[in-house]
Amino acid sequence: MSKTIIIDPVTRIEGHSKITIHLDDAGRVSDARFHVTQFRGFEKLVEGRPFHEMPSLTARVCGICPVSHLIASAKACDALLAVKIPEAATNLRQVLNLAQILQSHALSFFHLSSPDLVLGMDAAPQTRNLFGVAADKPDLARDGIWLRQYGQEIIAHLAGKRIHPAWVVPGGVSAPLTADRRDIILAKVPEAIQRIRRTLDWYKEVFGHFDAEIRTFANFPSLFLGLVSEQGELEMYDGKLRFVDATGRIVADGIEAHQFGDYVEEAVEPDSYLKSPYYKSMGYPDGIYRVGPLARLNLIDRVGTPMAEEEWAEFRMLERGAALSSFQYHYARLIEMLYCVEKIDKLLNWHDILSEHVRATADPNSLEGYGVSEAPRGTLMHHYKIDRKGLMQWANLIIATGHNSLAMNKGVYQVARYFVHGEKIDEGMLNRVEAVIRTFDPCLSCSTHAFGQMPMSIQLLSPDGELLDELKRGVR
Amino acid sequence: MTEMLVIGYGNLLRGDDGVGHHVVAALESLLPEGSAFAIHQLTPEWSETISHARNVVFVDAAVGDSPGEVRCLRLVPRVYQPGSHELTAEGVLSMSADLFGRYPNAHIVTITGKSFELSDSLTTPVAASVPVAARIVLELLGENKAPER
Repeated sequence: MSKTIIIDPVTRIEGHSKITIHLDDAGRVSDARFHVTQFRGFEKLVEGRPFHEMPSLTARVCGICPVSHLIASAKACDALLAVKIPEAATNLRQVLNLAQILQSHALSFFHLSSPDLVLGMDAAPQTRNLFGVAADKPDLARDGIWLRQYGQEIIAHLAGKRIHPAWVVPGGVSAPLTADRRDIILAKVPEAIQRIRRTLDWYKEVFGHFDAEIRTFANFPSLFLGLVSEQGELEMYDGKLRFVDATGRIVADGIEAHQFGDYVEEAVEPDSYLKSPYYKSMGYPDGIYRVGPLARLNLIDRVGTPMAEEEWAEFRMLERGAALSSFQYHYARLIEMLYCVEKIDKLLNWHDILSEHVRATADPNSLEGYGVSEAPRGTLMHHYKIDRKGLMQWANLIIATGHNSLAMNKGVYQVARYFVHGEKIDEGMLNRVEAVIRTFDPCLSCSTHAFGQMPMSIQLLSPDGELLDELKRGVR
Repeated sequence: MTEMLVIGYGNLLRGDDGVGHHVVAALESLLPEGSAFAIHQLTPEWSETISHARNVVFVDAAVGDSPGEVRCLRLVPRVYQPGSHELTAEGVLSMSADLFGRYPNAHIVTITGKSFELSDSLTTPVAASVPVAARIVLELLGENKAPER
């Protein structure tokens, strides 16, 4: 008798999603799906609003990465103004974006994923959380707290507050950086580097213990997408888009934001509010691609900062071509944290970083604008159309998690096929199905990161809806 | 060592859930600069911050049958994590003790909410309790100044 396992909810607050796993008559997994069941509708909500409100409005998409939306939105607004923003403003925006990536990666790696890595996928959920990490490996927990705090402090020093700052505006930023704030940020760079390197050393020691997970956590050939600089270096703010394939071969390069539609189409799944973009010439669903830290490190020619460059060279030794296992998003995240701190150091030491000239002003000169940047989870795109009064007529946001939609679905299926058997459900199985989603660090559903006391239930149902087995965790 | 901290938390867009922010706003001018914080939720980073303080008061909304009721409890460290991104005040204390070797003298002042639906304002009984809660916070901190409405 075929059966369906439903993991619902996979989330509690920010994200609303569920996972269904279908078993065939022999109890083997025949299909698995990741469904996003929340609807945000920001693209409709903003219609009719003045375009200059867009950075602040779209920053409300998320409480974890508002800065990413600020950046992409402000870039789209720059394009509407058709102005070249001052170089100091560009560099300050870059620092802000890098700090955002640093703090978000710290949250993902230390607070949300390290319990699995430190305590094991099968550890009791009562202890497989940050408290468990604090008890078992306090240095790691302290490093995570320190690094996330540092990223948030940089955001607050630049933009006035840690969450939902309004400092990034169309045409630049609203205020220059002061020398004392720059110096406070720079003073902590050495300690940040020390803490990240220590964590990288630890990760490289332990990831070998996760052979089965590395083999099965969304480990398959796909394309990878991200920005690269003109020099082929890691780029989080500017640059052009590049696709590489599973061998690392460049499939398409030098793509400007306005050309993106020539390469990618968005599919709509009947069972999910998350759009599923795919590489157009390969069709749906074969045109599957991934974005984010793993993709970025797979598609660059070099990193561009010395210490991260060394780590990247080692990372590239994982496989002959691109690193294909999504488990290694964790590794890539740590290397990117190192890059972020090195790059922040470099940008804040730029000779004119304290310039008073940080904003260009103009009325709209174009009725359509694109903004692209790299968010912690991958390439973020804002595309706006306005009328002659500057009112929003249309918007399309392609968020990183959307790019990864097809890959997450395939990853859930792969993990379920390997770890789920028969009619009995156990906690380790449940955790691994979540953990593969967690490697992508999806923004739609911050609580797919969840662990420990996260409320979740898996139900094993017969085709006629009869409950055969049920596992509950923290459901109120 | 920081002498005192007040941390009010909650969601300002969910009606009475944001009362912690309002209490902090009522206290800000009466306390030393940098000692009062209004935040969305408690995260692990606060464990480091409070480890440097002698005396901490958390202010939060509560669910109950008597809207506007103000209660005060002394806190001790306790391992409990209700969700993936947030901690309880007791959890923050526990993490402070485990990771940073000490935790402060701590209390929580709660104000029972009436409505937690989408709204950016407090209900009448909860708004009326803001100065009451603020006064209790000051007493806990040993600051005998009268908060303004």
